[in-house]
This record gives sequence, structure tokens and C-alpha cells, in this order.
Amino acid sequence: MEKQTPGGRPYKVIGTRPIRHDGEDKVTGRAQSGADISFRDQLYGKVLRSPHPHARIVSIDASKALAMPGVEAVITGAELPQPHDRMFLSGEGGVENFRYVNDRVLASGKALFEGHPIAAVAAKDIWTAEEAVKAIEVTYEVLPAVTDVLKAMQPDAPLLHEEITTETLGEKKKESTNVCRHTQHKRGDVDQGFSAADVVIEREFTTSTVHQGYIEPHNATALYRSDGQITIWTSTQAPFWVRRDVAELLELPLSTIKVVPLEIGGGFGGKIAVYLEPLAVLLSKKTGKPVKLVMNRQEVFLATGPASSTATRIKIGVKKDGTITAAAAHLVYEAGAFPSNWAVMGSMCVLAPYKMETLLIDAFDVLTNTPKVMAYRAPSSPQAIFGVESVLDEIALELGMDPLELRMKNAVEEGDRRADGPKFPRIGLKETIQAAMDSEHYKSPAPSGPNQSRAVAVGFWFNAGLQSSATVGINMDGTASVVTGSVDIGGSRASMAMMAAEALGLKAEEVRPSVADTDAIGHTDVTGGSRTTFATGMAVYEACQDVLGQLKKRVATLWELPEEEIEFDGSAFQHADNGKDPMTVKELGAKLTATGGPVMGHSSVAPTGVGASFGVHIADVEVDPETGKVTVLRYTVVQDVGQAIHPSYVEGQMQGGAVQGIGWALNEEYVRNDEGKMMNPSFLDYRVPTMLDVPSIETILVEVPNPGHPYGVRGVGETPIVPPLGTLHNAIARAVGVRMRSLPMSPPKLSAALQAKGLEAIAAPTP
Amino acid sequence: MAVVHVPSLLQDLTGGVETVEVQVSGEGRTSVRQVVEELDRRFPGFAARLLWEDDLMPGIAVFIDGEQNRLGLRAKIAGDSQIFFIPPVVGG
Amino acid sequence: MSTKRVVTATINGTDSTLIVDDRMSLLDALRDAAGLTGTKEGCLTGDCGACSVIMNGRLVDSCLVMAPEAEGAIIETVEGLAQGNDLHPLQKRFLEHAALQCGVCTPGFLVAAKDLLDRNPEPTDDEVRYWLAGNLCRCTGYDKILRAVHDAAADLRSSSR
Repeated sequence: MEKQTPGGRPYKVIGTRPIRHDGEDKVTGRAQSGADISFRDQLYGKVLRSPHPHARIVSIDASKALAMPGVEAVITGAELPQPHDRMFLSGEGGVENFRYVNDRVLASGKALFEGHPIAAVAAKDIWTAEEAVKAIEVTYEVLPAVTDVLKAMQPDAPLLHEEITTETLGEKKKESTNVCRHTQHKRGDVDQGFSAADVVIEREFTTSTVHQGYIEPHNATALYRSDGQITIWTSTQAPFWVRRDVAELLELPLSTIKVVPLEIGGGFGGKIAVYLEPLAVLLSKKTGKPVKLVMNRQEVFLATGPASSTATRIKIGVKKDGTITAAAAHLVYEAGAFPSNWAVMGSMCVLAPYKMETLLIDAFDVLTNTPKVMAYRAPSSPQAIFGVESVLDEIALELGMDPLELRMKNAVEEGDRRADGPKFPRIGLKETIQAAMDSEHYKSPAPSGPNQSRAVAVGFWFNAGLQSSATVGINMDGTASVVTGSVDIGGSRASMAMMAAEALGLKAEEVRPSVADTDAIGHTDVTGGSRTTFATGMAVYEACQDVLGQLKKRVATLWELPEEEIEFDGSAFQHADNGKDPMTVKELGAKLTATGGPVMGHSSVAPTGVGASFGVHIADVEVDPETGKVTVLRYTVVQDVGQAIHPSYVEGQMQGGAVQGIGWALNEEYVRNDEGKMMNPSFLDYRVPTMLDVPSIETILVEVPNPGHPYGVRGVGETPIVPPLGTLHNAIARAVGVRMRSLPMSPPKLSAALQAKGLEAIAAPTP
Repeated sequence: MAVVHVPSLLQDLTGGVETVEVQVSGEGRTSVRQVVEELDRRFPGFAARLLWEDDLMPGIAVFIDGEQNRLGLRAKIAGDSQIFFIPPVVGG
Repeated sequence: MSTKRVVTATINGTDSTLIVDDRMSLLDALRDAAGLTGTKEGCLTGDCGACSVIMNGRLVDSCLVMAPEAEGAIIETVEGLAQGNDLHPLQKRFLEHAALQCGVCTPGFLVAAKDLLDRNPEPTDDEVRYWLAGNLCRCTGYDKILRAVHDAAADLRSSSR
């Protein structure tokens, strides 16, 4: 069936592959990233960071630093308004307490993680700033640190925050603890569910802390003018959230702050929170000059927000025919040094892909002496679903069932309830599993050499809606401009222009898309949550409808006919029976002045109708039994993408997400010593996949249009990072007979496990 | 009758009951706030656990028939609505 | 103590005189003294390749070269790839294949790929992967980059025939 617009016409622009509008600047080096901005009179900032994961700050003496020539200002936590409880709703009702944002940006009282900012300096050049930071004298009383989530839950664990007790729904426990939140979802009697099962498997899993690993380090430049007006230039996924956070932290009105988002060098969820921006503002306020701060890679690893390490327990019961009767999940997530909601997210994802009558999910967010965990692509879903997919793989083997058949048998579809309650709208999990079954990859013979195998896993992410704004202006020659507040992190300018072109009957190249600063467009939430093409795309679509409504009036004026009798058919305005030639938007451009002046449409939306997204991955692997190195021989990503606006960039999201997931599964981890310090804060020792480490990732786009969007858009960016953990785990298990149940499955860990298995086999040979 | 799915951590108040039916007076006129008040009458303490400063507890959103409703307590429900109080979704 | 000095180098075919600090890397000199911010900083430890430039015919991480070492050198950066408004085949093919998402690693990849194709006009998959393994991309998963490099190599071969 040919895919169609809401008006029932075949797409002309959507689904094509034009050159992205901002592409040339990105290949010629003209694109300006955050670190590329500079001012003649700018100062350079540097942050003094705690060398200890946990310490009381006894005193800070900056007098020697301030006395150095070229040093213009030093700030400490004392410069920020005193920390106090101030709850605010972040995003779609997520909650943060500004007390802890405040404390995270500049420590007050205690250093809670290695790299915690203690003070910041502004100086005439970066070398002076670095020397000045070293000259600040801090006296610490080192405290015992805890970086392991399970140890942090113990009653005798070092406490991070005396005031924190466990919060359950609406209840706070009395005792101080590192367990900051307990979440639960329950359906039916899970014990009864398990007793109705023929096979029950329960396993424990762990995953390590991993980092988003964007290539561009965090940066911020700020100017605080004497009239109190502030401009911040930065690389961020969420300029309007940077403005909100700085305003909240410094207790300023939003109207005093302009945030200019520059080109961003990757984010994956890690460039949402403020780190350097408030420091740049405070230093500029003190000096009256623009102040620029750029992190180095070590600072990025130590002091920005990675993804949670986890310890999970998954139990699934099935009938002989594979039907799931019950599942239980016990999830423990690293929160980092301040309260987080990542276990909450994990609890909502863990059992989402499957139907079941009974379930029980308990999830715990646990404070540790590590940087506060932030979002990382489908945040919390990979760690949770990893365990489920591994247990299902064991069940498939036990039942002698094809692993995709087992998943198909239990897959959710429209009307089924999510594990956390609400019913799914139209979703494409079954279509995606079917496409995986029908794929050339899955139908080809599985690799059968020694230590080789094939496996699969499923992934899920909700996608977010939030709020977006867009304006669409018709130029005097009938071409158009589209302005949104969504930072373009991976080609979204192109998809915005394409959706506008589709709506207005223009070519993609006749629409010029741009991203505005916070003064120039209505509030727009984060580029994240797989929401940009969906929600900002919705705003662009609505703004185009606004334009078309206005243009119809102009056509009515020109034709001296009633507006109601004129139709826009996707290409041109028409009148059914008066013999007028159809008039395109392009042709109307030149006639705007004479019919009433310029035309501009705008829209601000908070859309519902967000489409959930599912994927299935297939991997062929070979394990080197000597070294434990895993070679990915072939890898295919199958995903329901709703409607691909620009298929190349959809494929790119699927490939990029899969490779991040492969890194998570095989190599990436924060290695910590006994004191809780990170031993590998560099790209040399924190191994993200290179071009040599991965094959060309194959992609299969399944298009089950999301009924909640005029063009059927589903977010696609996050789901692809979810399945690789389980897929590779299962493939390795099938190849060498060892279920690691612990990530990463790095060569040393895997070879040690293989050796242990070998010794076991010698001790107790099995037939 | 609209159906409220009681959050599992509040089921101690309902004696373990997972779903509660609520009478809806007049199509589109009953609000989530009235539903919470009704539940609080039947299960004392319910509102205190779900509300904070006259709004839903931060970190809790109301979902009606599968969709988050940003009007929260002001959202109107229909006679056959399925109502959930669960955390909202963010992302990276 | 800081010492300033004058470094003269040929950058993208133009004789350039830069005033640099002795503590500057070549990356700093290109970005701050020459104003060529197309060369990006990713790690400052030579692990990510975002700052790749060609110096005297050799591919280097400019963050690991000290600015004074560039005295008299011939340096090629991403800004020198296009001839006026005529993009280099690598640039065109990267755009056609959507071989970039955020684009911050792209200048480094383009420069490293140009150096590869200067040496080896018809590289195999393995040769491309090996040569570009020093450049990290966290967005694309590399497949589209590989394809773009092969297509650009074919373009260059057919245009040199």
C-alpha cells in the first residue's frame, strides 16, 4: 500500500533522502560548535574538582590564587544562594529538587563524588586558570566512600545525605539511608502465576556504569552585563532548560537570560543538565567580561552524568507452549550522588514488551559516591531489559523453541496493558518480530564454526511528548523558512524542512530550517526522549496548517470567491468549478504584499499520541576462547519506525544506537579502585567501539504509522540502544556455553569465565 | 463506571484491591480531583499519599485510557475511563 | 612563564604567520591563532581523532603536536579540502550518505580519509577500517562513513583517469 498524507495523498517529500540543509557547514568546518565561540576580551575558566569520592570540605582558601597576576575571580559554593528544598517539575512531570542541583553544580559542605566542583577560577588565559586552580588550598576530611549499589544499600554503608530517607509513593520512611526511592508495579497474584508455570527461571544480573561518550566535551561561555542581562552560548540538548536551571539557581527572572545553542557534538542525554553554565555566569558577573569554560575529557568522565550501574533479578514463568504466566523483576539502580529516578524508568520498561496476567516489579534508586546519573539514550531501559531477554533466551533453549517464536507468542499489541498499567496504542512489535523472522539474516544459516553462534533480543522505549514551538514564514517568492527551538543533534533540521515542504507542497530545498535561541521562539523542551521529529515535527505541521489557512484567504481575495469553496490539495489551491488555474504556495508568494502583507504561521504544542517504539536485533558472533575477545560477525537492527521522514537519518539512528549498545555489552565500563576513584577516565582506557570493532550494521525499517501523528512519526532514536545487551549476551552464551549475566563481557572477564568453565569441566566431566 | 487502577504502593489503603470503580456523574464533568476525593472518602489517607500542595505528587502523572493528561487533577474523565497514577516519561 | 613566538607555516596552501604561546598545541594554534575552528577538540590525549590534520604529508592528532613544532610546516585542515565552492568528493559523499549526525567528528574523519586516499586510491574495507580506527564517531555506527569513503575513492579514481 502506498503511504499517504492525512489528506489521502501519496507522500512527495517524506521518505526521500535530500542533502541535509546544514550539511555543507559541517563538512567544511564552518559550523560553530560551543567551543568555537570566542570574544576578544574573554576570560578562561577552570574548575577545581574534588580528588576524593567522599569528603567533608573543612576550608577553602583561595587567597594565593586570587593574588596571582591574571586571575580575575574565584567562586565557591558560598556564591550560590543557600541550598534549600525547592521542588520543580522537570520535563513531563519528572521531579527534581533544586537543593541538589545547586549542590551538584558547586559543592556545599561535602564533596560527594570524585570530580565534584569545589571552586572555579576566571583568568586571562587557560594556563593561568589551571595554575590558579592548583593554588587554591582546600582542607578535606576524607570520608569512607561507597560506589557499589548493593553495598550502598547495606545499613552500615557510608551515608551520602543525612536528610534522605526512602521515598515510596507519598510516604517517607524515617531512617536515613542511601535508598532514596522505592517504586512498585503489581498485577494479580504473581505467586499463583509462577505456580501455573511449567518452567520458571530466575537469574541475577549486573551492569557497569557507562558513559554517553559524545565526542565534544561540555562547554559554556557567558556574559553578564552590568544591566543584569545575561547571554549564554553553549552546546546543549535543551536551551530552554539551561535557561530555567540557571534562573532557578541564581534566583533570576527567565527574561534576563538568553541561551544561544551552538552546534552540538553529540549528547545522547548527557547534555541536558547544566554543569558549566551557572559557573560561567557567576564568573562573568564578578568580572564583567565574557567567561568561557571547556571541560577536558577526564572532567567529562568524572563529573558529568553517566548511565546507572545496576544489579537486577529477573524471574519468568512460562507454560510448555511458551506463554508467560508471571514475571518478577527486582531492580537496583545507581543514582549517583544525588536523588534520581532512573530505577523508576527501568521499572516502567522492564516487562513492557510482553503480555502477562501477573507481574511484580520492585525498583530501588540508590545513592552512591559517583557522579549523578543522567539520561543516556532510552534511559534505564537497556539494563532492565537485558536480564529479561537473557532469561527468555534460556527459556527458549529449555523449551526447544525458536527465540523469536517465543517472543512473538508473548508480544504486546494494541490494547494490551503495559507493565505499569496503561494500554498500548497501535504499536508494531509483532510486525517487527515478523520482519526479523523474514529477514535474510535470520533465514540464512547461523554461523556454525567453533565458538560461533546467533541470537536475538527485543528492545523497547516509550518516547516522550513534552512541548515544542515552531514558526513557518512564507517568503515573498513563495519559498519558506522554518524556525524551531529544537537543537539539531542528528539531522533534525532536514526532517523539519521536509515535513514543512510536504505540508506546503514545496520541495525540501525550498524550505530553509533553522534553530532559534531562547529569545526567538516559544518554549521548546529538550532534544531527547525521541521526541524531536514527533513533537517539534507536530508543531511544524500545525504551523503549516496555520499558514495554509491564511493563504486560503489570500487566494479567496485574488479569485474573488468565498474562502470555503477553495481547497488546498497538497500541491496547490483549487476551486472545483470556476476554471481558475490552481495556485501553488510558490506562486502565491509574490502576491502576498498586494493581498494583505506577509504570512507567518506559528504553533506551540504539547502533543499526546506519542508512539511507543520496539526493535529486534539479530547478532552473529565468534568468541576467541584464548583471549575472550568477541567478534561481531553480522548484526541486523529491525525496528518499527512509524514513518521514516528521512530514511538515511533513521538508519543512522538505528546503526549508531546499536553500536553504542554493542560497546555497552562488550567493553565499556567505569573501572574503579578500592577508594572509589575512576581508573580509566580517557578514551584510551574507556573503550568505545571504533570502526574496526563493529561490522556494517544492517537495518530493516518496519513502518507501522503512529496514529497520533499526522505523518505517522514515531521517535526512533533511543530504542536501538536497548537490544544489543541481551542480543550479544545470548549470542555469546550460545557460542561458548557460558552465561555471563554481567556486563561488560570484556575479554578479561569472558576469558576468566571460560577458564573457570574449563576447569569445572575437567573436575566434573559431563557426557 | 470509571475504573481507577490503584498504584500498588497505595494498595495497603485499599486492602490489596487493585482496581476501584468510581461513579461518574454527567459525561465529561467529573474531574480527577473529584475521583481522588471520592477515593479518599472510601480509603482514608489516599489523597494525602497522592497529592502535594494541591496538585499531584511530583513525579506522578495521571494517565487516562493510555494517554498522559497534563491537566492532572483538573482532567475530566468519561464514564468508561481507565485511570492510572504513574510516573511520566522523560528520555535522553 | 609564558613565551610568545612567531610561527610561520603553510596552512591550506596559504603562508600564515601566527603568534603562538609556547604552551599551545598545534590544535590551539589553528583554532585560536589562525581562527580555523573546523579542527575540533575531543580529548586532548590523541585518542579520538577529532583534531586530525595533515602535517608535512603525515596524518597527526594536532592536540599532540606543540605549536612551535609547526614552524615551516605544510598543514592541511578540513578548511582546505574544498576548492572554492567545489566540495571535495569526500565532502560530497559524506553528505549524500548521511555519514554524519552531530558532525563534530566529521572534520577529523574527512582529513584522515583524505590522507588514506592520497596514499591508497582503492582501499579495501579492512584498509579503510584500519586507517580510520583512530577516529571515534559516537553517532553513526560507522557504516555510512565506510560507504562514503569508498564512493569518494571511486570518484577520485575516475576523475584522475
